[in-house]
Amino acid sequence: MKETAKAEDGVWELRLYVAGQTPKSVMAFANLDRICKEYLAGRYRIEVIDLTQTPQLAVGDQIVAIPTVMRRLPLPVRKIIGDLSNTERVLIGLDLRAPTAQP
Amino acid sequence: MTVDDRVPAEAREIEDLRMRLEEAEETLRAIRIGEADGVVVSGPQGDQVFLLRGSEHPYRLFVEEMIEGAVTITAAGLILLCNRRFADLLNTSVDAIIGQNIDSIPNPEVRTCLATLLASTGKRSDPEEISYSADGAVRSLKFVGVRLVDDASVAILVTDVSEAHAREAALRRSNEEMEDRIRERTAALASKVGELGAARLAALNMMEDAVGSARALERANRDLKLQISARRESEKAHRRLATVVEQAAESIIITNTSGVIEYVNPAFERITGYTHEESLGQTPRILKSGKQDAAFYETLWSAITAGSVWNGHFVNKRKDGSLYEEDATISPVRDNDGTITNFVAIKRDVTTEVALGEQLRHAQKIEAIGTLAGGVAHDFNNLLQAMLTMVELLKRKSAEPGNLEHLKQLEMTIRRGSSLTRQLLLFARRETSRRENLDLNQILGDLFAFLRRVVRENIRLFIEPATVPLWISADRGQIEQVIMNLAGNAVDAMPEGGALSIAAGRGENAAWLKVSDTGTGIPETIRDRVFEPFFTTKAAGKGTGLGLSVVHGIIAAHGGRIDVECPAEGGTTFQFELPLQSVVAAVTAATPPEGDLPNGRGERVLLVEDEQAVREGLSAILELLGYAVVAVGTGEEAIEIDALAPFSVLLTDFMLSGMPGIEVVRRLRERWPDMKAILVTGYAAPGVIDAAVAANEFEFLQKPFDMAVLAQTLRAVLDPPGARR
Repeated sequence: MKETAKAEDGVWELRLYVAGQTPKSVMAFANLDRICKEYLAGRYRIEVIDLTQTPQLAVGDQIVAIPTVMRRLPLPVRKIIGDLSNTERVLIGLDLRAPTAQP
Repeated sequence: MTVDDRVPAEAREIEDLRMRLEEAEETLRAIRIGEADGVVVSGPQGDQVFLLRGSEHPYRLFVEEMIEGAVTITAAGLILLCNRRFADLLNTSVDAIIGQNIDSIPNPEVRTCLATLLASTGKRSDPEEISYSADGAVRSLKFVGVRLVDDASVAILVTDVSEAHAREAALRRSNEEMEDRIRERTAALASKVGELGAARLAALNMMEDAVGSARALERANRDLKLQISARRESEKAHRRLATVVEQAAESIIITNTSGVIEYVNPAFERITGYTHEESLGQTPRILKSGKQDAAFYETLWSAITAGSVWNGHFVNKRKDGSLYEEDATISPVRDNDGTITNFVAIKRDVTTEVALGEQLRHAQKIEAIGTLAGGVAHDFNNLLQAMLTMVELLKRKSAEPGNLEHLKQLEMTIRRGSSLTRQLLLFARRETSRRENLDLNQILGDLFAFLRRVVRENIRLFIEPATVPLWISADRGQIEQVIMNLAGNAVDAMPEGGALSIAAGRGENAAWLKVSDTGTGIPETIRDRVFEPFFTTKAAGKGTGLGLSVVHGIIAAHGGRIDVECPAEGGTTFQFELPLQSVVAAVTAATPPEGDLPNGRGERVLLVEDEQAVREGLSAILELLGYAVVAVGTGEEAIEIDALAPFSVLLTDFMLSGMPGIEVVRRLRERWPDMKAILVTGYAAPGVIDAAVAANEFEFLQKPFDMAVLAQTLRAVLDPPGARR
């Protein structure tokens, strides 16, 4: 019921895996935050997971490289590796083009 | 189930696999082009995160340690990186800044300055300087920005110039003050001159006053100028003193009268590891190592509080816990009234000097042993030679099997005595080394019988020679010594019994030999030290601490290497390697079986030996071997000898009392040019023998030698190689 509600609300659940404050991790968060504000205003949630603190969290989502952003909702799951500075690539990778093009 | 039903399932599976392949390729691509800066690796300890450190890593460490602040900001104002100093300058922490936008920096001056540098175009910005009040003082910071090559970010260096400015300002103020005073005085005097001029211009004597005043004014000006330049000189002298203290190699500490540190110089920071900030307010007790007792510190304190200078030596502890040694002078500092206001300690790190001194003492110890051994060796070997010869003769004459066994034991003991002198000489590098091509297997085989006798009954002995010959260029006696020393140690390590294995084999370009025991092993903490001279774990009187040091020296001198291992399951293995010889000359067997000695055929032998016991023993043996012997006690007797028929061989001691052995050979050869010569010596310094043998075609025998060696050496000089059977 809850899941459906979320899907209907169209809330995006994103997870960013980082390893401490490396330059790429810092960059990735800033870029992701900027892109979401622009394309998903009010409809997203970013969870930052620092694998230097909790490496065991990498297993479930099969994370091998850092930084990685993962789209958990809506399904299907998608992942992008890197500092997300190429906005074009992020939009395609997260499949964010379509909604903005529709209205 | 039809084909059509299966197709969608397979198609989904293929699609799934394709996605996973793409994901894997994407991951590899990201890592390869440097988009990722960390990887997660699964291992036995679970998942671990590894940061990928690029070639820039050393620079990052450098940046971390700089005394300038450093920060990298993207074009959008995102703070990507900063060092600790930068965070300190902003009174915050690194973690609180990284990832923030510069807009969120609370200090408005810094914020504006960073924004300006970010906006400036060009490779390198002009330095920007800002000043603001912080904690009641004016802080001045200088910023320089550099645009990074491949992206739009800017790296900014921040230098704290507050102190420099404060100093400049103080100097400027004091100079201005001086100049103001000059101006005031000048004006005062000028107006006085003016008054005088107006009131009494006509009066001549007043004129003279005025002239005098003008002169006084000039003088006053000159005095002031001198004062200024003196003041400048004194400032310069102060600066010079400060520079000396700052740059001195000695560490300098100033404390107040209760010992609280008020100043330390950079050398102190370098030597102790404590920074200026960490040291101030502390006492020198932070360096206390516990190597000096309370009485030591009491003496020090009572000396300096009484106003004397204290000189002494400390073993102190660095911040990282390591120890160092320093020579120190601590003096009281007095003010103009003579009251002690401070103490100043000047200390020199002498750790290296102390270590060098230790090494020197050690070298001198070895030198002394060498001299002692060299002095004793000659006489000692003569004694052994006499005993050995007598034993050989007794062995020939005694048919009783029980006696024969005792004689063999006696012979063994004499050889052990000989080995002891040799060990000392080898250790002091005073042994003459004679290299020949040898098969390591054969040395091991020859030693087997001997080892059987020295190894106790509760120890099983295993010998495994290699299946191929192991040709090495080596001194037989020295290599035997190595094996004997290693075997001896192994036996000593197994007081309760065990197994001793000696194996030889062939590696790449090297022959190896392993001596393993099943003893207690060597604790890891002392494993590095076992080859050090005089290092022993044996009880006093049981070991000299020389054995392994000699082994190490011999192997090194032969161009080989030796290692020690203590496997987890117990025991110790020493393994050495020696370079293999590629070309090998045929080598005669070491010792032919007893009873099959090459006999003389009545050749005339002249024996010159000053030790009576040795002379008589050797004469008897030479006769037993079938030679006609004439024996004399000195070289002078030898050259005076009244003989018509020439001698075939001269057997002479090298170090005779009176005419030396070499001289005897030279003089007799004038008479009988074809006479062969064998020099015998208890001990001679290395080099002397080698040179003599090389120049004069002597044969050479080292005392003590046995009958077999003597018999073979005689035949070797009498039968030239081409004429042998």
